Order: sequence, then C-alpha cells, then structure tokens
Amino acid sequence: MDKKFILFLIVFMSMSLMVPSVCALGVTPGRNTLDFSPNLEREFTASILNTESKAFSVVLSVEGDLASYVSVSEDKINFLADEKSKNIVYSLKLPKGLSPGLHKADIAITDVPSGSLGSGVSITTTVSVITQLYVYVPYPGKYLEGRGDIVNKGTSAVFYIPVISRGEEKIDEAYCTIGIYNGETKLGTVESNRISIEKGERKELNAEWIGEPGKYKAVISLIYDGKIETIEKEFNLGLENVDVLGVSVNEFKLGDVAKIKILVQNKESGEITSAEASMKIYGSDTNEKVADIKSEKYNIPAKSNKELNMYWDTEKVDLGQYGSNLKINYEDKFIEKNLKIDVKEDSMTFTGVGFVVASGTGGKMSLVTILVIVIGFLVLVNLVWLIWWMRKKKSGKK
Amino acid sequence: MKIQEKPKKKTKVIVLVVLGQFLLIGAILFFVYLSAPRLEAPLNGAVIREDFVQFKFSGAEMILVDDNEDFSSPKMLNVSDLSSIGIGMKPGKYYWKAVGNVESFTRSFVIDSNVGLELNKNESKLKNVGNVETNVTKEYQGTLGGLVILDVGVEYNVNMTNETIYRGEQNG
Repeated sequence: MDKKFILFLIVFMSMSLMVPSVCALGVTPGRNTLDFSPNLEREFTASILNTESKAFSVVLSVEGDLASYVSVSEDKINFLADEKSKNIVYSLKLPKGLSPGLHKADIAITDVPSGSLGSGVSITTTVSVITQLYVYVPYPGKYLEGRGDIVNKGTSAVFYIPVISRGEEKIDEAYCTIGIYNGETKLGTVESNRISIEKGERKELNAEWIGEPGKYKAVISLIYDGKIETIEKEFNLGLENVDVLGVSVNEFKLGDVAKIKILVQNKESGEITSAEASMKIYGSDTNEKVADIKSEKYNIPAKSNKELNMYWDTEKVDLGQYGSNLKINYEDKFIEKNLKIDVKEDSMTFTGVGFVVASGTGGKMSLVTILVIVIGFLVLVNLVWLIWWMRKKKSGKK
Repeated sequence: MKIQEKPKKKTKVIVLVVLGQFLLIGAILFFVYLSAPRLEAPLNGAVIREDFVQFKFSGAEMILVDDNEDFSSPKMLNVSDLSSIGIGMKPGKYYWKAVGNVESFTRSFVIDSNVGLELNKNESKLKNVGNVETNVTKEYQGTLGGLVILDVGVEYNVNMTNETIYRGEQNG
C-alpha cells in the first residue's frame, strides 16, 4: 500500500511538473527618451516584473543601431517565486556625433523555459519584452514633429496636436489646418491656433469640429515656417456604444466575499460577445494595488442591459475609502471608469470619479501672477513717489 | 545744526517707506500662501509605476492635470470637500496644480510605461498585461516578423509552434 502510494506520488509530481505554466513577463519603463549630447555617458535602470510569481530565468540582449554604445550589467537573471521584480542597470556611452533623427537601442528580456539553457535542448515557445532607449539627434534647420489626438465629445471632435521642435532652429509660427472627410467627400476645414516653438520645446495646437455622429477621416496639415507635414487619422463621432449604468454590492459584510455587480448597456444593434469586466483596487493613502479582480466573459444581446459579476475577497480589507479603475473589455475595445469605493462594516458604495475637459481655471490667479501684480504695483507706487519727490526737490531749488 | 538734521530725517523716512514696502509684500505673500491650496502628493518629479495616481491636497476646489506645462488642454477633477482622490491614468509625463481661492504652484510627475506579455498555458493566446499599446513581433527560426499591435488587456490567438519567441515592445 505504501509503495503504491509513493509510486502515485511520484507519478503525480512528475505530471505536475510536465503541465505547462503561464508564461508572463513585464518590464518598466517601456521606453527611456533623451536628446543627443556628444560623448554623453548615462546609466538607466529598468525593472523586470515577475507577474506570475514563479521561479524563472531571463536572458538579456541589446539590439538596434545604438547597441554598440549600450552595455548591460548582467546577461542572465534568475528569479525566485517570491521575487516580484528585479532591477537591471544599463549604461549608455554616446559617440561624438550621430546622424540627425531617431536612434534606438532595444534591451530585450527573454523568458527562458526551464531546461532550455545549457542542456542542449532548444527553446520552446516563450515571450520576450523590450525596454527601449530612444535618442533624438536634432535635424539641421527647422523640423517639427507632431501627432494627432482626437477626443470624441459626442457632438464635436476636439483635435489636440502635440508638437515637438526637433530641429536646430526656432520655429516662428506653427499651425495646422484639418480637413474632415466622409469617404472621399470633404465636409469642411478647421484651423488651429498659431504658436511659436523654441528648439526642443513641446507645445500643443488645438481645434474643434462640430458634426453629426459617424465615422470620419481627418487630414491634418501641420504648417510651420513654409514647411508642411501631413497626418491622417480616422475618428468616430457620437456616443459610446457601451456604457456602465451602475456598480453595486448587495448584502455585504466586511470580511465576506463581496459580489460586485456591474450593469452594462449595449447600445449597438448587434450582440456583443465576450464582454469582460476587470477592476483594479488601490489603497486610499498609497498607490499600492489592493486587489485585481475580473468577471467571466458575457454576451450582451443587442439593445439591452446585462449584469457582469465580479468577486472581491474582503477578508484582509480594512474599513475606509479605496480608489479603483473599472474596465469593460469587449471585441478589441474597452471603456474605463474611475470609481471611489467606500467600504463600511455592512455596506460597500461606489461613486464615479472622472476627468472633465476644462476650458479654463475659473479665472483664479496663480501665486506667481499675484506676486507679479504686487511687485508691479509697488514699483509703480515707488516711481510715482520718486517723480513727485524729484519735482518737489527741483521746485525747492528754484 | 538745522542743516544736518534735514537729510537725516529724509533718510529715516526713506528707510521707513522701504521697510514698510517689504512688510507689505511679506504680509500679502503670507496671506496668499495661507489661502493657496497645498499639494501633498504626488511629489514634484515623482515617478509612478502603477497606472493609478493618488492626488493628495488641501484647500482645493479642483485639480487640473495636463501633459503640457502651459495647461493648454487641461483635464479637471472636481474635488470640493475632498483631501485626496485616486484616478487611473495612461503612462506619460503630467503637470498638475490645484485651484482654490488662488492657484497653487505647478508640479510634475511621470507614470512609467509597463510592457507586459502573457502566453497562456496552451500557448494559444497572447495577452497584453502591461499598461501601453504593445507591438508584438514573432521570432521563428531566426526570422523576425510583425504580428499584431495589442491594446491594453487585449488577447490575441496564436498557433502553437515550437522555437517561437513573441516579443513585445511599446508602440508609437
């Protein structure tokens, strides 16, 4: 009996070891960016994240046109299951000169499946993540780089065009004209504000277009000191097709597993398949993640509402307020909501928190403005007083 | 004796006026400083590795956040009667200030991007578990080819093939 049990145990353990595990890897930051400076020497740190809390090894390699200027502190790192992250240090030693434009180095971190190093066994399927190093060398003359961010406000589209001057000279005037197209038909043109941009400076152009709901194409012509760059981008106008109608928890007692119900509305005329809710919960005093929960996958019939359920074990949760980020993923798209969670002994309430696009600051003055006004006022008073005193002195002499 | 006393008196007046002005500036600045909102967190230049930011402040009616230092297109959070608020944000460099009776000074912070890839047990699905759009390439038998650009949290079906490395890097 004992021998049989031992045999069963050996077979079970061997089978357990043979079951493939999830292969997951992360690195932060995903990118470091800097402007070129001759012979610059600098060290960077990146963290490799053990997202699955398992023992594993990674190998490091450097690629890209800057690879010969980058050296990494280690070429192999071993993780224990309880090690959540490990730092790597890589150093950059730039040459005296590089050609204008963007130069890159990719530091690749590759998960090595156990048994594939040093035993002659080839690597099976695995994942690799890259932390990038971007070095920008200024272009001769004037050069403006821009991209188009379009915000759908329901009845209007707001265009934000962040621009960076990557040339050696200042740009005296930059603006953009935005052509709006529905297919091949041009519906109108809007023009942005006009700005000047110093070398290496980042600024923003903006414009707004009001239209009917639908799918459009924007052709953004970035015009600066006689040069034109064109960016094309598609955008949707109109309300989101999926909305969160409410978040609630019924019959809750602290220490229980809370059933969080997310009521999701499908406004589309077709069924939504594989909709999934996920919520990250953070402590109110820190940015520390308290929980990361998600629902099953649900289908939501056309033009109807569906309850998506998630469970949060509150055994180690204290009374108080928590921040959370709720995401509904559906068909390669997602919507996000920020919620404040108030956890009490026998209740859990959710309040929406969200950014709104501000048009101004309500006319409130900054500390610097007040300081400038006060000093300006005193300078004026002194000038008046000085002039009065000098005149009086002059008339006294006469 | 009378001729010497006059300039002395004048100097005294000037010193008093200058001192009075300094006192006035000091008093105004002190009053403004007391009535301005206080910014506690995130600290100036802070680097945050979660894509969730906890703002802490006092005496503020609203918080303004922008990726431009000149606040040309700010996003606003109404925070009357609150002393902290947490919100999910995308990676990038941000500037923030609070508005109460007057505006506070501006602070900046950075949310670091996190590139994360997950391959499931059956090696049939790849998932972007980071916080940025990720460009995934496939390295098979020494050849590298573009595969897909994955948004945050999105899964992608892949065929199980040996000796394949799926590589993820920040897109854009």
